[in-house]
Amino acid sequence: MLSDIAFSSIRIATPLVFAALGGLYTFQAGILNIALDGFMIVAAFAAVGAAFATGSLTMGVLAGVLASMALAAVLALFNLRFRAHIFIAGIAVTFLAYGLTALLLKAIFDQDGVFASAAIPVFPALRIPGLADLPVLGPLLSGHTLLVYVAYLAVPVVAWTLYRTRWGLRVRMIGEAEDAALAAGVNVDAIKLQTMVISGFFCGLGGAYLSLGYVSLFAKQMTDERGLIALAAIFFAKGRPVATTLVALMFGVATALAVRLPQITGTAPQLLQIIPYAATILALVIVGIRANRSSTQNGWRFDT
Amino acid sequence: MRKVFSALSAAAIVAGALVASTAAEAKMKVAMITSESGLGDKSFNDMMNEGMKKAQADLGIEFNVIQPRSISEFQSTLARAAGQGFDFIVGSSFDMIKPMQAVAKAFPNQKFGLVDVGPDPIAPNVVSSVTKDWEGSFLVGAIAAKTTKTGTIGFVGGKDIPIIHRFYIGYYYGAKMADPKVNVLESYSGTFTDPAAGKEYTLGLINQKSDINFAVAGATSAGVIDAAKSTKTFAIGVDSDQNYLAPGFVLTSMMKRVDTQAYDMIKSVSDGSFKGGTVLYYGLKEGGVAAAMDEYNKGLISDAVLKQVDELKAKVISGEIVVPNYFDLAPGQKEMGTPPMATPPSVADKK
Repeated sequence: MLSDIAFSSIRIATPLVFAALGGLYTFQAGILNIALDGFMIVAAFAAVGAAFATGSLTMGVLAGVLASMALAAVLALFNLRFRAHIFIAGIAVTFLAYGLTALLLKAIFDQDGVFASAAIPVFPALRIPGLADLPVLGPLLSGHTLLVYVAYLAVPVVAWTLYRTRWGLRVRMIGEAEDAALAAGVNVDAIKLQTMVISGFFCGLGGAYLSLGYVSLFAKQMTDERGLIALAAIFFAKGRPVATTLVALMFGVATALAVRLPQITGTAPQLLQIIPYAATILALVIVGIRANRSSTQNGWRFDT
Repeated sequence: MRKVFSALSAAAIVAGALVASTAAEAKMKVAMITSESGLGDKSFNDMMNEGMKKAQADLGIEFNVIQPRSISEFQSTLARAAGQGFDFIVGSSFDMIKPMQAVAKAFPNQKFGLVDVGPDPIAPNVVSSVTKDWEGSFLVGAIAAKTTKTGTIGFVGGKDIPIIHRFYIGYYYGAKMADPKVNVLESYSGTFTDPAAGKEYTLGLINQKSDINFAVAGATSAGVIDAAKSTKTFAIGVDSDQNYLAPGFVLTSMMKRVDTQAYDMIKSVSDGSFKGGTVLYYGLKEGGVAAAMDEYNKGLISDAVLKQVDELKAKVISGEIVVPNYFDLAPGQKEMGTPPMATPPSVADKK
């Protein structure tokens, strides 16, 4: 029972982890990127479309990632080139993504809300030799689909790029003091563009996971605000990769409990379904208090 | 035939100015207004279009399908159709109630019909219909209870709200009527738009030994069906025929026969029995609900099961069995339906 809840927590948290990894690059570069949902939905659509057309999962994931990165580049263009406020541009891009995918769903697949087909290839569950035989962890960690492992294994890579490379130093520098970075001769716009496109890359994986790994279908607005939950995880963990991932996992656990507990205990489902949202509010309150305390120390601002 | 003719000539007078030259040989003209999703939705609009084609073949009507692009266009579309001399204008969806009320008031002599809405009359010149989805749910509940191998079946609702409870109560009653020992699990995903959540909830039910799960959850249902596919269990679709979504893994679908409802409305206009302001109820008896059988679920339900379920269906039609409607139940009520049966815990324990 417990291992079952833990297993599904990992699965539920995977799209959140992808979105959060993408979002924390832009967060560290001082960009409030609220378009994570938009990136994911175009990726989910492109992934299903390409996988359906070619029968190849690789092509599906590739198409999802490319579509998401392209949309990220559009957002960067609006924000960096045309100087649109990132918040407004982010909302616009998200709505564009929702609308466009719904339109294309109708235009290409002649479907109103959901596209599912037996021709969409399915990610097999991977049984990891060695790992699968471990007593407690085995059934928990083995048997997921490929992208689940990609998500969690990407975390140390993300941490390395941000904290152990010159590029990562510049990203964080821009996030903390953009003017200083400019004065030091850092090409701020170029780095911001790069973080945005990387954001698109990870959200692309998240979207592809959602439509090809988690389920194998596309539904209108199927990201269901996961991008915003990921954003809350980023804020809560101040954009630190490992901590952000843990918070995303915590949301996964909360959701898994909301699914399984009422079925066993007979608790009102609504009570448990509010856990992720209540946790989000709590997280933001804590962040708010923390920011208030530290605001006297430095001039860190979260703005365009 | 004379009746048809008189109805036709009456209609011709109404529409006289427009179609004067052809009035003598005019066929009855019907306009079907689609809901937002339009034709090609493999759901209500396509089904209703089939009803139109049937009316064309049987009753010799002419019909036009008008497709508004959005809910905000419903009223203008209805008004434009009302100005074009159709004998009957028929639409569907809850979103069309208010627009049709407004247009029906402005065109008091125009006959309208609205399919699959609530029990409140729309306007004096509008006939509307309520689908007894609880009777359809009864039917698929009985099929599920007779087909399950584990003795446990499940239900995934979109939200924990009365209109969804209505499906559950019918499903529960049908399952228990078919097999009193069957265990019926109830769950609500809390969302109508998240297939991943639908899959997660379904896997939870399957984990508790359920092998057939009825999905009443909008787009979330797609995830319930996906879970059936990946675990080699069965799902049951809802509203329209969803068997095609995963051939071999959708046991059947609880179908609202909007085509029959629209057809009957057209027939009432053509034979002069149309009565505006009335609300028609469509259950098993009226052919308003059905369990979808097509090439995608062929052989999944055994003939023995179908025969037993047909017997139950006949009892509902004869009135021997009355399937409880959730809206008639009081919180905490202990028994429901005819013959009486203990209510599920979610009703019995409610204060």
